[in-house]
Amino acid sequence: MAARVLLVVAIALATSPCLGDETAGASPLSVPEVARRIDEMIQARLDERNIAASPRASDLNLLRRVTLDLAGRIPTRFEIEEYEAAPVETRYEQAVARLVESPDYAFHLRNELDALLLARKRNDDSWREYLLWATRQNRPWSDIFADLLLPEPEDKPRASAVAFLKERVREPEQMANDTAVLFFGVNIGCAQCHDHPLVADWQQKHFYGMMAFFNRTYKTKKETLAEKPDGQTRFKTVAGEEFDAPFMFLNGECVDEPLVTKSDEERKADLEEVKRQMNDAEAPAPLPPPFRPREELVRLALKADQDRNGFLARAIVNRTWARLLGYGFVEPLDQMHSENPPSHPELLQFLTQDLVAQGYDLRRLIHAIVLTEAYCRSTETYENRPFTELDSFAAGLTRPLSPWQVSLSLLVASQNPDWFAKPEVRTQWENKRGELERQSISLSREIELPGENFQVGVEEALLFSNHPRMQNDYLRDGGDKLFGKLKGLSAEAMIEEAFLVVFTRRPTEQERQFALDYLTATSESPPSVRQNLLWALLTSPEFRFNH
Amino acid sequence: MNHGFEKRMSRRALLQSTATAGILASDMTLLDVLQQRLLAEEVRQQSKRVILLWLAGGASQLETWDPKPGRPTGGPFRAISTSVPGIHISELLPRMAQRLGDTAIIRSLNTKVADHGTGATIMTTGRVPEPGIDFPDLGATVAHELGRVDSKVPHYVSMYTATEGRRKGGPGFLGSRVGPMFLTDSLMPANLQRPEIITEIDHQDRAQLRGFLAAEFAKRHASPAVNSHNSAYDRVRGLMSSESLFDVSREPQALRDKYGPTQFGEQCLVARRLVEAGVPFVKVARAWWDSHGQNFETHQELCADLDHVMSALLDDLAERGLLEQTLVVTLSEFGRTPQINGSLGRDHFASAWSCTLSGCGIRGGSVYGKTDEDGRKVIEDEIWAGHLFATIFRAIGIDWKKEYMYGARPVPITDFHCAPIDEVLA
Amino acid sequence: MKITREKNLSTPDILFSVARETGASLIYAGSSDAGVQAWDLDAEKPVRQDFAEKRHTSYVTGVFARPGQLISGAYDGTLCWWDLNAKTVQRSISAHSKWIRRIALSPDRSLVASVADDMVGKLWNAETGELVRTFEGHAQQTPHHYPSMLYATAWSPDGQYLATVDKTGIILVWQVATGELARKLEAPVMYTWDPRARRHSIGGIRSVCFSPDGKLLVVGGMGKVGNIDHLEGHARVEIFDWQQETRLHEIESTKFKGLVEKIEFHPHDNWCLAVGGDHKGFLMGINTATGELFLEEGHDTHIHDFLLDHERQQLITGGHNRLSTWSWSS
Repeated sequence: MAARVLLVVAIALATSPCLGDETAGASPLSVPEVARRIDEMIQARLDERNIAASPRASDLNLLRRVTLDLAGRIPTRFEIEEYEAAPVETRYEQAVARLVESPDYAFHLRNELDALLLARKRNDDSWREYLLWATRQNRPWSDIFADLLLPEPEDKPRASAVAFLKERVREPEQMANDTAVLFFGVNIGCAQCHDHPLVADWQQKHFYGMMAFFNRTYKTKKETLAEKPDGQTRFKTVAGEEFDAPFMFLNGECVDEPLVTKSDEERKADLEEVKRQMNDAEAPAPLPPPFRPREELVRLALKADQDRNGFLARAIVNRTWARLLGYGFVEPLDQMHSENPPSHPELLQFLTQDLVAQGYDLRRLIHAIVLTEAYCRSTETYENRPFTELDSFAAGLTRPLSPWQVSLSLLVASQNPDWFAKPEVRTQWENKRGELERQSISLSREIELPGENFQVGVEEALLFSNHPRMQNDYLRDGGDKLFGKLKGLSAEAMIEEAFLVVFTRRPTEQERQFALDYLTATSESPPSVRQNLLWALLTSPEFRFNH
Repeated sequence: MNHGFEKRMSRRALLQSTATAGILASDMTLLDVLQQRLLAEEVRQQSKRVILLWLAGGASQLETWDPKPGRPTGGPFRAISTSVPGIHISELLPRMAQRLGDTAIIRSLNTKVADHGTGATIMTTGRVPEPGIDFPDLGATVAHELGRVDSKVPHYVSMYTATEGRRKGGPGFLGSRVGPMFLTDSLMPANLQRPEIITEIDHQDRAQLRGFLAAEFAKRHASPAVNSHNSAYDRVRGLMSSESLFDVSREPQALRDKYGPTQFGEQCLVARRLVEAGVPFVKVARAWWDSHGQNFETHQELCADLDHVMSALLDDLAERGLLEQTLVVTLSEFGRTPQINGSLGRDHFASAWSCTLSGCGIRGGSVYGKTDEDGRKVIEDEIWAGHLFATIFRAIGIDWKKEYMYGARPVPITDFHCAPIDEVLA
Repeated sequence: MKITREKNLSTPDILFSVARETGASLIYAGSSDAGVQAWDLDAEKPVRQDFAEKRHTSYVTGVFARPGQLISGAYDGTLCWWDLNAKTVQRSISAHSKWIRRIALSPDRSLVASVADDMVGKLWNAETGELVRTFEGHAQQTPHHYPSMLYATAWSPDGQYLATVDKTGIILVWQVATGELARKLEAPVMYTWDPRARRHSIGGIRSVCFSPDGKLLVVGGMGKVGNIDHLEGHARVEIFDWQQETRLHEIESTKFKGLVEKIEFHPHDNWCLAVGGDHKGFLMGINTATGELFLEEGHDTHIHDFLLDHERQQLITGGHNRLSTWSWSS
């Protein structure tokens, strides 16, 4: 009950238009205006540093890029046609507007959040259902945060948000640090044993202060989460002194637990009750204690955002920017502290304020970013660009696809393109997309989640080279498959179609000639040569990366 | 038919004329952003290797390397003298007793954590797990330091066929390029063989077609990740040719007999074939030593296997001149309680237990550390996982003081405050 | 039938075998401290007296008392004859190259049978210590190439046959006079090999006993085990008409898990008592005519051996850190 009341308050606070200089006032900036402001600030830095930005990528390149980023898959043959039929001046903005409202958007953001928050630590359909429910309604990020930290067992589908903590409940350290890393962009793990050696901000008390919010959390025999009525978090400094950790948020703000005097009998009864909840699946649901540390954490985190010394909004802005541009304002993403300032502090501040003022609306943020010139720049490098300038956002970055993007894109590319003709009604496509999601799961599990310094392992290359499923699932000769369609075409038409479907572009003259020579080296080419060409397209880095 | 074959040949000539193979190799230096290249090259030239015999579940130090005969905790087995005067080990390891000349025994591990998950993480990464950072395991670190980017053999092969306690371990923040090739269901790695539905010619065609397209893309999109994608594919055909390394039937029967008929024996024979071909790190996990009930019967079975196979492996490596370059390690996630429980079992125990190092860089016939008369605690030269890892690094010539950068954070490959144990190093 | 525990004495070591001279009050036990000890159970507060001489070097797994004499066998492979008055060793024989698991005195008390992990059964003249006969027929290795174990042996009441049982579930019945194999039976359920999860084995036939009429052969161990890290198979007994080579009953306790370490018949009745345990212990009464499990009594630790004293209506069990006495009534 208490958590629900709190949420209402939080949302009311978050949406009240009384904060911030730029974004305050009667009408918020429009999405294109936000995009324009971003570009102005990026450009100002480029001018200061005298860096020339790369040109805008080609139209088809951008369609592929933004479809992968918003829908989690390559564009269908139909989407390419529709795009090319639209006026040149507005086709990109139109495509973006269509994509952010499409069913694909929710599916893809769901997959991204799943990877971020649970990183495949468990397979949990109801958790993924919860995330899809949240992304479909563009649930505010602050609410998703609260859902995860204060799961309500009786409130479906929010109850399934419990997976985030449940996966980590064995170790309060894990709950505390993962919450700090994923929601607040700070990794305080090494402050567990000593004050952070490099960062004055992070002392042991910050780590244990965070841990205090989680230290009373436990899992009941019924597999729900509960909080003990009391319990202190003690820690020992390197010097050997012992302290009780306060309930302290990362900005230093503390909350005091109301003093309650309990008799020994009452304490014993409390202990017995916790023991019962841990061991007895039949026990009635535990009553929430009067003081709930995790509820306090959520309150402090949201309040800090309002007070402009928060972490929640800043961290998701930085993460979202990094996801779409390939590099964050602050890198690494979990090192958002004073010793590691952002590349564009004013821009990060602007987007953070806008996010808070607009009710933590992720769709608005994402929509604005993909409309920027910075997002649309070419990734091509004709000479080696030094890595030190990644944070100038002067050029696009080549980014590895996530396992889901690879698997879904393979399905889209290898399907007969006619299967993706324009669906009559939205729900039809939604169902189709749901079907693709299901089909994509098994391959996606074989592919590594890209992290920092990501490198493709040889296992993946062996899988794509030698696993029979490549032949049977993606190169199969059937009416429902791309190859089934291609084999009936002339060699020239086959090459055009294959490049367009797989790479979202037409072949260069050199590629066209090379492929034609290969396919027609003999008058009677076996069908396998066309499969070979198709395989080579599907395993090329051009397919494996977003660029 | 003949006619068709000739025509295919002309297609092949076309592919080869585009000379796709050489285009990517020159960019390989971009691959290794973590590596200090010069030092690593030196190490590579010496081509050191490691075979880790992972005694999963926790082998008993009392029934192996640190017997306490006649004590209430000692169990029923005798201690026997060995080829090194003054050193006694359990009677369950009679062959190893005759071969201690190449082996150092460490009897003073106190690794504190006695649950399988965390214990295994500590003993495979050499440090306590930390929230927010995924440390590489020993195999991945060694593969990273000693593996060649363009190698035709795997960097790191991990055999774990039992399902209990199977933990993949892995490269952590070093990335999957140095991750293990994992053998679970059979002695042959997955996807190493060409599927029958694709002909050899088509398989080659594909690689070359892909090479052409990939080179075009890489020219315009140079990045370590793109290059790693291409170098992974470039290794496929070479790795496929290493298929025979996993085939023990290519060894003479007499040698196979020496390793014996058990699965562990066959795996260790494969391990020897792999290190001989230059694989830097091979892990052979032997499950499952978790003898809560019937500790003594369990060790009679598992020690018989360990003794037989490990001694055959050391002999074989020595005869081939490989032992000088190959370090053989026995290790578990922890040891077992001195206290014998009601089921004549021993439970988890991490306060005072043992491991061994044999071969490359090791002072054979040495013992380091001492436990009390009942084996309940370490009384001399206590060490932690980090000291063991530093010792392993030093033994195979890896700079144990080296640091990796994980984002902005320097991560030393050896845990803080740990250094090699000189007493067991040659 | 009802069984009631009377005394429950603690001891730091593990008692693997108990014996006494018929009608006497002293109990002898062989234990994990490699020694032999005596307890006067009639005393108000029984006190343990260790034999001063230590001849064995490992766990003592078999003791039998004859007038004035005790015979012991141990994991060190030796058999010892002790003078019970002087508490000293009269004779010591290196009998087996591996662990002696059990010894058994013939009904006329003239012969001692011993079984060991060298997979050989041996007969010894109880007076002179001379080797009379060897019985070789159990495989040295399990089907999975590990050393096998020969756990128990029992005499037929007429002294004509000797049964030996091993780890893999093989029961061999030998003709004592000729040394020839008379019958081969199998109880394969008692051996669990785990090929997937753990790749080793657990179990084995741990106990064997003939019925007073010599017709039945009863063996004990545990049923199939899921997690072989623990003794978590159900306590199991199989009853054979050994001459017909037919299995009459398979009995598994639903209440107790662990190994049946020892079985003995009531001398004049058609029931037997089977004891053993996992971390804790159990005693089970089995009607061998019907296969009915009519008694299931728990104990605080694993029981390795027991003896029935019919005259005193007393039962004595030895096991993990415990020596206990029990009474029974019908």
